[in-house]
Amino acid sequence: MTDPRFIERLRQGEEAAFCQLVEDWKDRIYNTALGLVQQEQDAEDITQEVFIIAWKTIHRFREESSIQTWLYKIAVHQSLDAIRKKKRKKRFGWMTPILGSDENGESDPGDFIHPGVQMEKKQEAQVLFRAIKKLPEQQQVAYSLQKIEGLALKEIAQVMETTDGAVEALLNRAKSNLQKTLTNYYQTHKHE
Amino acid sequence: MNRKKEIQEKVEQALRSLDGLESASANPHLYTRIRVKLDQERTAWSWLANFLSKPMVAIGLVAVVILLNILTITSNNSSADELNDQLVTLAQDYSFQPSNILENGINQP
Repeated sequence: MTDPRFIERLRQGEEAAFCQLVEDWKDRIYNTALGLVQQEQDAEDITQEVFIIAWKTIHRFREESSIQTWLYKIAVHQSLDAIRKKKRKKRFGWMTPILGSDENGESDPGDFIHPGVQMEKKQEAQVLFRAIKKLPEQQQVAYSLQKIEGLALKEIAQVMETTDGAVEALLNRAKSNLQKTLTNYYQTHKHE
Repeated sequence: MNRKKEIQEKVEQALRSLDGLESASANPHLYTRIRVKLDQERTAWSWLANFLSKPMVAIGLVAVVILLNILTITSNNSSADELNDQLVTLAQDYSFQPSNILENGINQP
């Protein structure tokens, strides 16, 4: 996929090459976005946006990194952007009745269950996803890329433009934070 | 003690719940949707470009810009005159004319 001829075809604006790029990468990009935003419609919008950005900025793609890293970088950036926008909207939610704009009554992603979770683990996964949502941004990205997308430490480091050691530290902190949140949760919800 | 152990087990179970997770699949018609979005964007921009490049629209816009320039210049001139008048009145009120200074002989040794 990092074949220079393929990149050149994309740069030339070849429709078939773009179609191939989308078909080859859409599931992985969607899965990454879904793990971060935890909302199917938002994840689909982000996936579309990722490919549109890639198509428009392919001339800026440096072949020092792989196209995989480049696409993941755009996906993470777009997902974090969407999360921040949603948080902002939530913060100014009290203004909605005044301004009268209640877009589409989006639901809180607190009840999200990833479609790929095994049937018998759904309940626990739901609690875990709620805890992941509370992690600091960088920990959330590192944890999602590892656990949901299955990327290796080195690949995560490339996507996050950091070192392997830094990613390892982020993952350790994420796990420790998740343990604390989950312990608190199970202490207050005795019957789950 | 048992309760603590039970919670710990639940936490571990929750942390392991993503093991064996299958990748989610994107919409099979994603490419078509992207294409439609790109075409819509292109249509919107090309409509604007077409509209602006029509001779009548272009000439009209240029005429509006020239008219705005003329209006700005003339309004600036009239306000300069007004300011000048005000200064003359002020100078007269306080006897600032050079003739007065000479008449009073201030500059004389």
